Amino acid sequence: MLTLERTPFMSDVSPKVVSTNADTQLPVMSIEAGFQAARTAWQRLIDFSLIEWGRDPDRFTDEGVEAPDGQIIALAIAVAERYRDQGYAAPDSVVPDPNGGIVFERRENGSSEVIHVWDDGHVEYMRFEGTRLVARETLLV
Amino acid sequence: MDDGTEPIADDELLYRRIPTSVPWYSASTGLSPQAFAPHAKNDTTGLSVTRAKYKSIRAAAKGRPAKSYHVAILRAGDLRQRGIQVMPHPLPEDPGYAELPDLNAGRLKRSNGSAYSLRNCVSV
Repeated sequence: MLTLERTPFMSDVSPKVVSTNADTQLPVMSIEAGFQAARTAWQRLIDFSLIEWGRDPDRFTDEGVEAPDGQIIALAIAVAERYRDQGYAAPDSVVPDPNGGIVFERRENGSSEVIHVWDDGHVEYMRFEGTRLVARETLLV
Repeated sequence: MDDGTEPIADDELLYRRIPTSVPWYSASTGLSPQAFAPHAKNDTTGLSVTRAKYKSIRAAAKGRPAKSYHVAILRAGDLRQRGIQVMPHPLPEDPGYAELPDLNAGRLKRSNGSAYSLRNCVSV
């Protein structure tokens, strides 16, 4: 069973708040709206990328590219659902790596955060400041 | 007459073929570092690139039949500034073949930093 050792991914958790309707006219996104937007973005990645890849696993097979298999896609979906449900900001992209793994990436203000689901089922979090790797840890036990 | 063994000058351009079937490049998100991640079997001695002085960009874009490709353009000096070596590795059928030995399969799980540094010195 998938167990995540820690959950540092993707910046701050957007807290759930009770809506008062007091600020609904403000031209800024409310915190709750931010939470919902992040949830929707995660779900979009699951529905339109990961599940689609699972339906056609050979779509990426090309020279120097191994497509992720069903097990890795299922693991990536489990990871995405975990962070979606915890309210973390969604990644900007999800892409396969060349060796059958899957990579979630989020960029903000010159830094990047990555969750890499390797082809062997190992899951890692990495954070880059510019192009410098400043944090790296295993997310699976 | 050069035969591909001569050192790669800092101002030389290099091509890297990127399959369009894999979502490693889009106008909205730019180029993914995964386009420069080494393949476990194909890149045992380094990531493959093509020297522009030996091949047109159109020829560099030719891969498998019925497949299409983007071509990333890199400058050798930009790579070296980021600590990534570029070495000529001419083949009988491809004198312009070269490799980035710092990005090899043996360093697969340690080379992401290098792949990330490539993002800022490439045009597609």
